[in-house]
Amino acid sequence: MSTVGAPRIEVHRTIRARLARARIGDLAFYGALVFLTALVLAALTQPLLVAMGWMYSPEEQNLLLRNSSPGTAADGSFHLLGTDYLGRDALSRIIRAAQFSLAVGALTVICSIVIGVIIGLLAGYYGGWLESVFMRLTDVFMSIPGLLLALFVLYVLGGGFVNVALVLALTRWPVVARVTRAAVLSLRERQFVLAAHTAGAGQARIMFREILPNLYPSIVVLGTLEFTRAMLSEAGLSFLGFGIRAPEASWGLMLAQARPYIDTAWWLIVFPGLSIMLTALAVNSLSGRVGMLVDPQLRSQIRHQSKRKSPTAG
Amino acid sequence: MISVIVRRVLESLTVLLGIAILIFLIGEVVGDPARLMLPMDASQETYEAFRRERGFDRAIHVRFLEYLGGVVTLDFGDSLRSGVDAKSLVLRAFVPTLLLAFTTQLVALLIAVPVGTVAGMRPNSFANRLTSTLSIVSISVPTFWAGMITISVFAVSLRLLPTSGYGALHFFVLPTFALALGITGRLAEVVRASVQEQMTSQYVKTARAKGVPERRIVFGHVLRNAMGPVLTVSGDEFATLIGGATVIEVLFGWPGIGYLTVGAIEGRDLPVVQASVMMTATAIVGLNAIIDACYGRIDPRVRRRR
Repeated sequence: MSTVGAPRIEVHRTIRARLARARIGDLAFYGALVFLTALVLAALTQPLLVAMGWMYSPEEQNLLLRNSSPGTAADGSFHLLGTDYLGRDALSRIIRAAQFSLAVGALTVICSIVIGVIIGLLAGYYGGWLESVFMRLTDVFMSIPGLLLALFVLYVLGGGFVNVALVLALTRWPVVARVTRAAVLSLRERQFVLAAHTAGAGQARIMFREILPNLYPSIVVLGTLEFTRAMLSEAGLSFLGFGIRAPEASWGLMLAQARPYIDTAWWLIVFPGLSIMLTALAVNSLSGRVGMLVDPQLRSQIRHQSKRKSPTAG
Repeated sequence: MISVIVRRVLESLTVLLGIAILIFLIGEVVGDPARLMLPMDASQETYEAFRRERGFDRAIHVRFLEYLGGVVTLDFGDSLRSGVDAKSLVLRAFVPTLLLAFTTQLVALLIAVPVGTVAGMRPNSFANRLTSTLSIVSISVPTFWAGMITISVFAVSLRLLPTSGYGALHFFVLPTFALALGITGRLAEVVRASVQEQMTSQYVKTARAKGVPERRIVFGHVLRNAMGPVLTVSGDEFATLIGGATVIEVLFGWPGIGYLTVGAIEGRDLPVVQASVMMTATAIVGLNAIIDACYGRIDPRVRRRR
C-alpha cells in the first residue's frame, strides 16, 4: 500500500479524480458556491449587460408579448423565462430583483449582528442589572411576532429598501443578542480569559480581543441562517405590498403580481419562487463550512498540525 | 415553589409593560396617530379637528397614562372602519389563527418526531443524511410560494380543494401543508440531532451492556431526554403561528390575526393594529411561561435547580 501511496496523491490532484471522490456534501457545497457567485455577478453587472445589449432591460415593456411562455421567440426577440403581464423579460426582472433581495438580506444581517453582538457581549460579560435590563428588552422584542412588528413599523415609517432592512433587523437582533450572551457566559470562565485577566489586560481588551474572536464561528453561522430568514421575510413583506414596491422588482412582489395569472402563466409563479428557494438553499448549505473558516481555535489547530507534519515549512 | 411562580409572573408583567411602551412609542411618538388614521389626502383643517376630537394634542405623558389604562382594561378604542371595539375584533380573529396553528403544529410533530428519531438512531446512514438534506430544502421554501404552487395544482388544475376561504376540514388542507412544510423540516432536524446526541451518552451504553432491547432504550429513555430542544423549537414555531401566519392567511383569505392586521393597516385603522399586536404579544408571553413550566415536567434536573 505504502509504495503506491505517493503516485496516488498526484492522481487525486486532477479535478476529475477529485470530483469522483467528492461526497454529496462537497458537490452541494461547490454547487451552492457556483450558484451564488453567478447570481451575485449577474446582479452586479446587470446594468452593464443591458448597456451592451446582451440582456433585456428589466423595465422594457412589450405589450404585444404579454405573458408569453418561456422560450418564446418572436420578431427577433427571445425570452428564456418568458415575459410578465407587461411583456417585460422575466429573467431580467428576476436578476433585477436579486439586487434588492440580496442587499436587503445583507443589510439586515449586518445591522442585527452589530446591535445583537454589542448588547449580548455587554450583558454576558458584565452580568448584574445590565444583563437583566438587556435580557428583558430582548424578551419584549421576541414576544411580538416578527412579521406583525415589521408590518406595524412599516405602516408608521413607510416601505422602501432601507426601511425594510432596518425593520427586519429590529425584529431579529434579540436572537443574535441571546446567542452571543450564552456564548460569552461560557467563554468568560475559560482559562485563556482568566490568564488575560491575570496578565493585567483591561476589560475592553478582554471583551474585544479575547472573547469576540471566539464568537466569530457561531456568529457567522447564525448570520448566514439569518440572511436567508431576512430574504424570505422580505419576500413575504413585498408579497403583501409593504416591502419593495412597484415599479421596482422583488421576488415577493413578482409573485404578488403573478397571482391573477395563476391559472394561465405558471412560469411567472415558478421562476421567482425558485430563485428565492435556490438562493436560500445555497446560503443554508454554505453556512457550516463558512463557520469553520473563521474559527480561531480550529485555525490554530490546523496551523499546529501543518507545522508538525512539515517542520521545514516555516 | 410559590416564590418561583411569583417571580415568573412579575417577570412576565415587566415584559408586558415593555411591549405596551414599545407599541406606544412606535405608533404615537415615532408616528403621528392622527396622520396614521386619516386618509393620506386629508386637509389641514380635518387634521386639526381630528387631533382635538381624539385628544392627540394633549401632553405625551397624559396620553401615555390613558393608553396604559386602556391596555390594562383591554380597551383599545373602536375600529375606525367597522365601529366595533378593537378587542372583540381581535378575539374573534384568534379562533381561525389558533385552529390553523394547532393543526399545523400537530401535522409537523406527527411527521418530524418519527422521522427524526429513526434518522437519529442510525448515524452515518442514508436515512440520516436524507433527513438532514430534506430539512435544509424544506426550510428554504418560502411558505407562500408553496401555498401558490399547491393552489395552482390542487385547486386550479385538479379542482380537488378550494382555492381560499375558511370552513370545514378541506379548507385546512392547503394552508396547513404550506405552513407545516418548513416547520416539519426544522423540527425533524432538531429531533434527529437531539436523539443522535443522546444515543452516544453513558446511560445508553449502560442500558445496552445490561442487555436492554434497543426499542426500550429509545422509547423508555432516549426520547424523553431528547425532547428538551424539541419543546423549545416547537414553542418558538407555535408562537410565530399564533402571531398569525400573515402571508398564508392573506393568500388563502383566512380570517385570522394576520389577515385582520394587514386589512387594518390598509384601512389605516390604528386601534385595531395596536390591539392585535398587543394581544398576540400577551398570548405569546403566556405561552412562554407555560413552556417554561413544561421543562420542569419533562426534565427533573430543571425542577431541582429551581
